[in-house]
Amino acid sequence: MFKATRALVAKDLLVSRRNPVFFLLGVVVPLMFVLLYAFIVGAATTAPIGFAVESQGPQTQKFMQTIRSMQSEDGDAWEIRTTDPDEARKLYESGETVGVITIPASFESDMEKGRAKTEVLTRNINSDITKNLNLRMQDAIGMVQQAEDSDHLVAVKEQNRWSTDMSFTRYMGASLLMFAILYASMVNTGTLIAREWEERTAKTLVLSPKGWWPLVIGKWLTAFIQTAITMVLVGGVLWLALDYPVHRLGPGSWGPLLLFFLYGSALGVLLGVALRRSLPLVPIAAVVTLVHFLVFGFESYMRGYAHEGLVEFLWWCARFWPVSSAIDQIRYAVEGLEPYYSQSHYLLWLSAVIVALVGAAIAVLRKRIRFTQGQ
Amino acid sequence: MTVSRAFLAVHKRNLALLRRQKSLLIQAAIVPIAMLILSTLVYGGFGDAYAIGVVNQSDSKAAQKLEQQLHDAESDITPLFDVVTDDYDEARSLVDRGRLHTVVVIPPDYSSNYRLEVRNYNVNTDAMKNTKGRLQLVLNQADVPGAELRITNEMEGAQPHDVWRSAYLGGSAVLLALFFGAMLIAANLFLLERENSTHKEIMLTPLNPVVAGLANVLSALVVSTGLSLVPLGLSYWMAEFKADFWHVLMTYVGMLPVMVACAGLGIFAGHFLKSFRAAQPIITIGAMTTFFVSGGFNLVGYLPPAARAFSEWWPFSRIFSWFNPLLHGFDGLGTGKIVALLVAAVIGVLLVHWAYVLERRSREARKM
Repeated sequence: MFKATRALVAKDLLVSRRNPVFFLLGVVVPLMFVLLYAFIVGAATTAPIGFAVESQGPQTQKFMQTIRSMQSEDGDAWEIRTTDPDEARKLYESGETVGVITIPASFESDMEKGRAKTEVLTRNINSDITKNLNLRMQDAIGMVQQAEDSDHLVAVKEQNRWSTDMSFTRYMGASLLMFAILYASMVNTGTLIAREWEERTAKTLVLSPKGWWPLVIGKWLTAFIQTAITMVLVGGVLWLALDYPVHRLGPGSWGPLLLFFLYGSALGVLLGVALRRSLPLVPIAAVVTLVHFLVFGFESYMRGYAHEGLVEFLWWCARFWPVSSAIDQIRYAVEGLEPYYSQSHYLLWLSAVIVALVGAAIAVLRKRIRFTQGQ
Repeated sequence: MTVSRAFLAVHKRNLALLRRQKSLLIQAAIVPIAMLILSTLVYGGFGDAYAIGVVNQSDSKAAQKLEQQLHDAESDITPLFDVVTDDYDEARSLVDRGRLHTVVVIPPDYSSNYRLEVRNYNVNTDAMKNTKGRLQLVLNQADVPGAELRITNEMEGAQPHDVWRSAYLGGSAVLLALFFGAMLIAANLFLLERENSTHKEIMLTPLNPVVAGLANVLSALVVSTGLSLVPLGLSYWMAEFKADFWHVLMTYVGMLPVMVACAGLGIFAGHFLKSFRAAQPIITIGAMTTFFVSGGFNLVGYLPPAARAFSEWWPFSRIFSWFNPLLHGFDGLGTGKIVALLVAAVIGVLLVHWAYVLERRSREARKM
């Protein structure tokens, strides 16, 4: 059996080298996705905008200093494109910025009187942008009021579940790792299986006296090697584009990552034997992975706001599918924290899902074991 | 007459092929719908209302007023808070397991010291930014006796009302279905001729083979327009999409030259990529890149510098930058943009022509 498995792995690696389209797909798609998401995370952190600073004086300087100092662990809150009123309006009119924040000419005297205002003019075609600009301004106003008149503000005593906020980029980094490993393993394993039908070699393999195991183990080993190459590259891009601490992916992360590989491979085997063609397998794998990313990759975030309608239904689905908790396990292992839900139940649950998927794949294969066109 | 009959015959054949081989349509159909449904549900379906708990333990007027302010705070589209509980024990339990991100407790002695207690499930910085910013908005305006400074922020929009984020994503999904569908389906039809051996007949026809290419463009336009009606309908149903019929119609008309250009590019790319397995992923990745980095997910002006620089020279970014404002009634298409669209359509037709010329000169064609 060992020799048969080794021969199968060598054959598949050779075929992948000679016809690398699907292997490259397993590499390029996750890399592109990580890069694209790096842009989105940046947009969630930093708001690019023009300030029309029409006022001059110490209060204005203090206000702008506060604006400039605002930042989170992910980066600066503002990208100030300009502070010149004419240029700010020109950038807005040309569509280069989404709005103008005006510090009016009367700001200094208004501050002296104790009643000042700022104005935000925005192209309100996306409510998220309008909301973000408003909330950021409210933060800035709160900081200025705190500095000027701290005795007459509502004070807030905060108590956080964890001692530090997890950076959004690191939060998303774990979901992106899941995306990459799931897509790569699904496409690699699925196309390796489907290829046997496309190249009319399936009959020989399935009817081999060595049985099923060399086929299953051989395909998974090849897929593991190919997926590992993808993950090394994805890790590098995560580190470079999102400053993700790849070096902290210690033993606490290995279990969930291995399970993601097995889960993706099991889905790939099922798709491979069900479709027997690689062409539809790739887009289906992409959609399945995207669904995992958007639904399970956000479960612990969604948990806090999903209280009605379809989003609550979606959250309930995500809550009980063990992929969500496995992603959280990676997140908290990287942070050195303990996740809310313990590992034991979902590791078993995810293992059971993998076994069920492989069982389903073998059942499909047995049921539809027919060969046409001379196979 | 012969040319028009051949043109329509190829178009009819294409429709029959697409009906029989659904795998040629899967990506064009699923990608925009998946983007719409998941983005809407995960990112924007609930508007600006963030679930919190508010527990008021004080009977004072100041505390009641603050509680009311928390309930009343609103953006242009929805309230800012969805107060799901006012029970202390339930709120503690919910926030401890992450079922709420924040619980605000107004203690019994609030009116004497104006202090609040806030308990957070600080799952990540983005969630905390969203909850803390909303709370700050209320606290900035809270009445505290003796306050010497109050700064307000006035919001003004280019239009009287904000477009929901989900509606923006819905519009982008429709545009994605149109341009991505046209490009992918045209490429698929061209490659189908190659892989199903009808290529030879088309190359050897006494008519110009470009006629077949243009028929592929027409089929791609018709089918992708049909497919785009699904994300359009879903947007109206679940994404607070409120664009009126006239703007939707104008957008579809305005997108026609873009779709011709995209279909032409799909056929041209198909000539070089030679097989489905190469063309489909490249076109899909290109469309997704355009969606995320060039205005589909968010306005280009709100994206990070690298994405803005990319969108500056990436011609497809204009699809979202020009047509989303048209769709939602913000801007029309001026003369300059209309001329640019027509030029794009002409380039699309030329690309079809070049693809077939190059195809006829290719090594494979000489072997036929």
